Amino acid sequence: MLKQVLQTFKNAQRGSTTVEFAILVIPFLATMFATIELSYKSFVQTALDNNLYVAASQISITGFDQDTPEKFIEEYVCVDLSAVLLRCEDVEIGVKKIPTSGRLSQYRDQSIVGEWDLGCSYDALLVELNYPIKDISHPIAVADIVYRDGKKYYRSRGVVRREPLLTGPGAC
Amino acid sequence: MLTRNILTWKIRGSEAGSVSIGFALTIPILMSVFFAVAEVSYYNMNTRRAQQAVDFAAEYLSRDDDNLLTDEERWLAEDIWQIVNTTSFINTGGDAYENSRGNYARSFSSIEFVRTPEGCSPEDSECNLAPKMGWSFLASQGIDAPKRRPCDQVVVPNQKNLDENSLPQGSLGRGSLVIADFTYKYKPFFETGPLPEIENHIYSIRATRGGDTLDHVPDSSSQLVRCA
Repeated sequence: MLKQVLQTFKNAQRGSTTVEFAILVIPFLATMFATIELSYKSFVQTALDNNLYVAASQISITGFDQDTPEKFIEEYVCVDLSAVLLRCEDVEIGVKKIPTSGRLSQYRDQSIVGEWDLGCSYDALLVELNYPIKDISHPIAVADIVYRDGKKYYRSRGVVRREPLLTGPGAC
Repeated sequence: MLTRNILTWKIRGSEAGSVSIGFALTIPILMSVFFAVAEVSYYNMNTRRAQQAVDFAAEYLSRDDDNLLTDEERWLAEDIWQIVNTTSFINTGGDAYENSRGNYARSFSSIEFVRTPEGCSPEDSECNLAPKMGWSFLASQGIDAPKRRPCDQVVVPNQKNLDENSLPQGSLGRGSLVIADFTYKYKPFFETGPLPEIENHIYSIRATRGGDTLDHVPDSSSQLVRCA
């Protein structure tokens, strides 16, 4: 009796398409979502790069020595980042005055996030923005990624010279 | 014969495996889309950051405090590339990552506007401002066709009317200009793919602060060319 039931089950064709679909839909969707996630990560890097350019330009022309990095991000970075659905409270910034002698290669892998040294007129500044990476389905990303305190971040950096025509506190 | 016909009929009529065949046909397309997105993203990031680097470099040069570019200041402008476009070392090879200079070409030029005829009075209606290249600097590693601005660089004189021909030729101005040119190699992310290796050239022009001409400290190397 049992043998007969098993034989019937073995020969049955009903539901085979469903079973096949159930098995194959997983890698199909995985590939599709992996592509979407890859695109999203590139989008975030683009948004961060664009905001870095705006932030660096703003730092170079504004005399706001008393301001904190958090206030700067709130006033100059959040507006643009919010427009592209990024959380501005997660953005971290660093600004470091760099000497005009020597090469910049020493700063290539050195994170300056947390520093806030705006220098004075004519000073060269290295500006860096970081934004945390959230891996959803895979760790692949076409982006500038750095590891800091065991976490992954997108990174954007630029070098500006503070505006020579500054007056007030920014001129020093 | 009859058996073969029955088998053929069974295979034709069977729906088993149709999803697998559909999947087998679709997955290469999906994977291709995935890799294409990666390639395009990589190209976009490289070109975007290259343009940002050259913009930062030109902006840096235009803000010189004493209008005299020293070697140290020029080094900093050269190195902006490797700070902004950090991922470019993938294109230039692992060695370039260790090498402070990297495989790219960078050229800086200074243009002033001089009165023609020489010594004429600004009040004279015949007195015009004509562009003149002061100097140009070029350093290059690993680039086949680095771009350097020639001494006869065409910059549209003030008296020339702008039209569809003169617009692409250059800039119009009264104050002095600085130009930064970068040339870099782009190697496709997937080198075995159909995309070729190319050299991209990008540049940025800025007016100097206050309109003063940017000079360069004397340099005996062939990297600096002073125009007569």
